[in-house]
Amino acid sequence: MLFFVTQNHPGGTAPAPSTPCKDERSCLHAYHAPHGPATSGARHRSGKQGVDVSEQLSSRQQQQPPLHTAHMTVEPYARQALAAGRYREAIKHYRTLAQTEPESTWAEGLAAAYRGRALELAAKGMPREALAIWENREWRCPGALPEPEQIRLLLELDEAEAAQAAYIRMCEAGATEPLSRARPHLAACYLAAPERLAELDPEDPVRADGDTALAALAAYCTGQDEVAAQHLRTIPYRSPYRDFVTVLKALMIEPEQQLSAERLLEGVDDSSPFAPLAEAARLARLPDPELLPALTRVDEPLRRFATALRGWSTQRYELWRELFRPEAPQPDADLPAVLADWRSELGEQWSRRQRIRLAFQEVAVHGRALVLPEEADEFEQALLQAWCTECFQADDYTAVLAAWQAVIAALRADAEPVPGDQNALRIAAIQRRLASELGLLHTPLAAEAENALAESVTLDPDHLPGHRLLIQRHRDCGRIAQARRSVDQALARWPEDRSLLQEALELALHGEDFEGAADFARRILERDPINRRARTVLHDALLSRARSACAEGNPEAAHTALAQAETWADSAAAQAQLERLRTVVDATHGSGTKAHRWRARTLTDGRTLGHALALATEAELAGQPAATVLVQSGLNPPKRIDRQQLRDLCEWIHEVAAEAGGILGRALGPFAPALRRAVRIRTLDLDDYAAVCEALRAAGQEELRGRFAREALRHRLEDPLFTVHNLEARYANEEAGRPTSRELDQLRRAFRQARRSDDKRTAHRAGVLIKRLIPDPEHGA
Amino acid sequence: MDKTLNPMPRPDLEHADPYLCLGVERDADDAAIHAAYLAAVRACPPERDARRFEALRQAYQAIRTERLRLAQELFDTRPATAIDLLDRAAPTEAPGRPDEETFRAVLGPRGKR
Repeated sequence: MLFFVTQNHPGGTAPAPSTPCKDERSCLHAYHAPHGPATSGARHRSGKQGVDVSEQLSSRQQQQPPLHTAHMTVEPYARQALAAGRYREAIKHYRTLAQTEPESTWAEGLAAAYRGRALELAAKGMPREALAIWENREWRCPGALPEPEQIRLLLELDEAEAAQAAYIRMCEAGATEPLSRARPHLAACYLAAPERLAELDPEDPVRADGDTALAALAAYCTGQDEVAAQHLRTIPYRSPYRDFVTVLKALMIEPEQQLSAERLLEGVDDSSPFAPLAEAARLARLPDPELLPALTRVDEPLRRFATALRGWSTQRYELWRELFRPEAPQPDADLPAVLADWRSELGEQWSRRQRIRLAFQEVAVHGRALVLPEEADEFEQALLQAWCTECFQADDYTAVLAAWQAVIAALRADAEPVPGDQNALRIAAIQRRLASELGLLHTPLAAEAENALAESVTLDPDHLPGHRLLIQRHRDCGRIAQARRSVDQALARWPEDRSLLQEALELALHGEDFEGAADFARRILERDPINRRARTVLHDALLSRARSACAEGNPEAAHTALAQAETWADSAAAQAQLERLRTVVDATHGSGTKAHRWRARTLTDGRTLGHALALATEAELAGQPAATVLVQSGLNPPKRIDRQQLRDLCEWIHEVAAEAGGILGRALGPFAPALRRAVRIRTLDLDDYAAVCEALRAAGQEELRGRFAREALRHRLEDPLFTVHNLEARYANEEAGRPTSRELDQLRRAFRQARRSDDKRTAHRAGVLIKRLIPDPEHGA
Repeated sequence: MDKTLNPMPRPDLEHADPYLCLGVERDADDAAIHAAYLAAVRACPPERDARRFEALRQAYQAIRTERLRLAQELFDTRPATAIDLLDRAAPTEAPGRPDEETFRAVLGPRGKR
């Protein structure tokens, strides 16, 4: 008889029994023995008479109660250990208690402690040890019913008979909730081996639904989906086979409806005994690159299942095992060995070529010494050597060339290739690679590369890019005659190819063969009527010809070229340019009357000054003095211009600046007096000044720009934009000297002000100018 | 149980051999390769599997003409991957069904799995 003292309460008034914690209750709930008077009495007694000293003891004391008081104080320790999940300790304490009182008194706590410990060991992956604990529980607590987890463990460890016996005990006790958790495990076992659960009641759901599930499985495995579906429909929703039904339904869904299948499989809980089936089904739906490594992480039956679903043959599975070696400690397969072993299935030649590539990888990736495969022939050995040379001696052009020439020699070893045959195409591919991708054309070995390129065209005459490469090379080297020969050869094969015709057109123009060029242009336009490039190239070339003739004093040739160019002018702008050049030729070598015709045309749109500038530019392009041409054509600029004319002129400056370049400065010469006077036009506002400054900046007229900028600064002091224009114009070239400190201060203020007002463009310009004008202090300035 | 399995792609497990990627014989001509490419792209459009589509496109670009096929043979140094070997030696057949024995092995005791 256990004696509980109340030492801490000499008056005999024991404190109220501490309520068992929630965890403890949850641990105790699994006790299903009939509550006999002894057990309930013990619990009542321990609660009433026992003293819960746990709160007053240190943790060390809690673990090791003093031996001389063990019989009095052990129970609180046992309860506390159980609640805290210290099951080994709880088992020890309850067994101590059982030595002083009948075991049945403490069976409830002991059973809970054994259960907790068994689950703990199972979770740690120690199923045998966990089973031993369950067995101890049965022995020490005869009244305790088996648990679903115990049945699951027994089945996992192939102890079906013991599991069956435990299940039958549960059924006899009528424990509904544990039974519903235990049944799916037995159901899985019944599907795996029905004969092992033969002692179950035929009315039991495991057997009653099991036969239907087996029939459905057999129908599914033989491809009778309809029959299988019929069987599945008869299995009730609350059957232990519910997860099996779900998995089988998912397996019968077509691969195209992957989403539906996945949704079904998600319904199978991870703790379900049918979860491995669901996992295998999910595996089988992975794409190959994910499936292959994923298979290593599951066990053999699952792999077999997933690969069978995937349609793998036994041979494929065996090869996968060799490649991925799921059970081997070192997962990297010996690929060359696998290639050798499986060469009959892989194909002798394919296997050999792959071994050469692997040999190269060994050198290039793993840095190992080059080992030539024994079975490699002369070509393969040379190829491997060339890869290695390219990889490790890429800068040694001679070595690279020699290595690939060795490959070509190997290809030629048996017989000289005939243009167009496979070996000829291989050689040509190598030669093109040498010239283009390996860039030998731009090295001291350019001559060899060029010869190779020329030979590639001979060996592979039907390869247009090869021809283009050769033509481009001739053009780059200025060998126009050779380029034209190559183009002619190519055109003989591809007369319809527009890029070749364009090439021929440009080459003809390069040789001043305008007739030939016009012929090619016509051929291009016949095939591609909206092609503008052919027209533009020819038109521009003829204009250049006319300008040259004008500069050489040959107006007839100029007019001839202009007449030809007129055919190819495809826009009003091109036509106007042509007319301007014609006016220049007439003004300098012909009659003033003809030159005045242009003036008459310009008067119609009212932008005389702009047209005059365009004409002046054209005159300078044709090597004629702009002032003379303007006078001859009656478009001499006026001495004074108004605000509108100034804006108009600025617009034209922007238009012609791009193509005229340095000529624009000379073309603007006749306009300079008018522009100088325009500085003082009273109606100009700051926008006008800004537009004029920008136009003059584009034309490189720095002196005039400075004037306009200073005038604008008179209207608005310290304006950042005009400050920058003024100082940019003043210090446009090196000869302008060094800026004063006052100017630098102005520039810095302009920079800060532009940044404050978020004028990024002006701030950027000011910044660039500051950098240019203030020398780098590191250079001692 | 990890339901995500292995979502990370591994380049060493993609096809390195363009013929196997497209599922054509090594002596296939331009038309056969083009047809195989179109069929593969139809079966696996980019919106379904962008990675696979890109692999198909690259494979097609590598061997679509005879000259490209010869160049691939001469200049492509990538060795075959595991998937190449598997597809070459024992190509996947149509999706199959496990037999009852395989089912039982999965559901059987842990010791037997």
